[in-house]
Amino acid sequence: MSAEPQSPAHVLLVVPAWNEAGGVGRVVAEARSLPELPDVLVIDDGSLDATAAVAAAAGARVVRMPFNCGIGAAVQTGLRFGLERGHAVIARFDGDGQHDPHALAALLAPLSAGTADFVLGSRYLTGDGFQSGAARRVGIRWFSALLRLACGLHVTDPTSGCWAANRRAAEVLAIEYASDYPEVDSIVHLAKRGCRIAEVPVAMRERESGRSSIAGLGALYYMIKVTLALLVGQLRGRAIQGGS
Amino acid sequence: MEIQLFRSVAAVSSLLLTGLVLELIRRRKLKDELWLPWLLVAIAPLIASLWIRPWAALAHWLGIIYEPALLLGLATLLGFAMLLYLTVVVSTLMRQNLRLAQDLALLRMRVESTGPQVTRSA
Repeated sequence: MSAEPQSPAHVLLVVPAWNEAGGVGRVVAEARSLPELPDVLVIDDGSLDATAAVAAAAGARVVRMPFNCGIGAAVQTGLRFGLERGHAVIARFDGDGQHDPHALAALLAPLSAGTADFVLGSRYLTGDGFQSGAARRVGIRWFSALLRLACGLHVTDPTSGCWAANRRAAEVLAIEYASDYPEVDSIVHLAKRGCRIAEVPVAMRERESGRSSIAGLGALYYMIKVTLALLVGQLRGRAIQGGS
Repeated sequence: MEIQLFRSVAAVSSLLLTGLVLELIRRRKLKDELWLPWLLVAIAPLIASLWIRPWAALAHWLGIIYEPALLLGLATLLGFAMLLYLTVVVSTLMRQNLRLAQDLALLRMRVESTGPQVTRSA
């Protein structure tokens, strides 16, 4: 990986959005006013509301998926776009306003310094900003423990969904990225492909619109699916090693 | 007597299923990679019911007292194998479908950003 500082013009901010007309405009406006001057790409994942129109009016480029493909496929589309257009860094923020675009500078710092390939924003490193509920924190600790076991990584907020990747990490994720609940799984993929992963503190906000899919039975499915995906990922990792 | 009846039912069912599969192949309703496993599954009970002695010997060797149970067990296994195979096919299709959706979305963006280019001839 190059240790040269990244040019701000080469940063692509990917914002996946599904029925987020209420919040995506502010996210885009905030992102476009950042000193890093990122290209802002909203992936409208088959929204039934005016998400695409609101994002475009706020100044974002908009890719409209032909139907709802899942957040992973939406983010992967953004990764492919960024790689095709030659962006040096691809960052990902939610379209519901939960991720403060001002965290971009903190995410870019380890990439610019050449000390990491993938930088994850964590709301728990300093405890600033909106903190999730107790049940969700238990789930996050469970995934942190699994990640430590699976790849020896100490990650405090593996499900934050707020990250930045250089081209090396983006290329890994553009090939393999789960279409639903991809956050934890993708960290394992990156670690197994030798990417360096770092965490920086970020402050999060309460979502401005929409509702989380990780609630009620969805949370249970999330826990089971991600846990099993990690176990299967371990088997695949062994198969790759055995095959090579 | 009961086994004879079972053999007859298995043979007739197998013939009907084979006929149905062949008709679907003839109408091109079943794609190349998918008709072969179905044809094998359809013909297998017919062969088993006609060639009963080896099956009966195998059933005894496995400790199965009621020989047709072996046929039922194998049919169940074949059914599961087919479901597994079809799940693999569906998984492949889902992956390809997502890739195509991504390509379509990126191409549509590219086309829309260049503006209308098509002129209608008189």
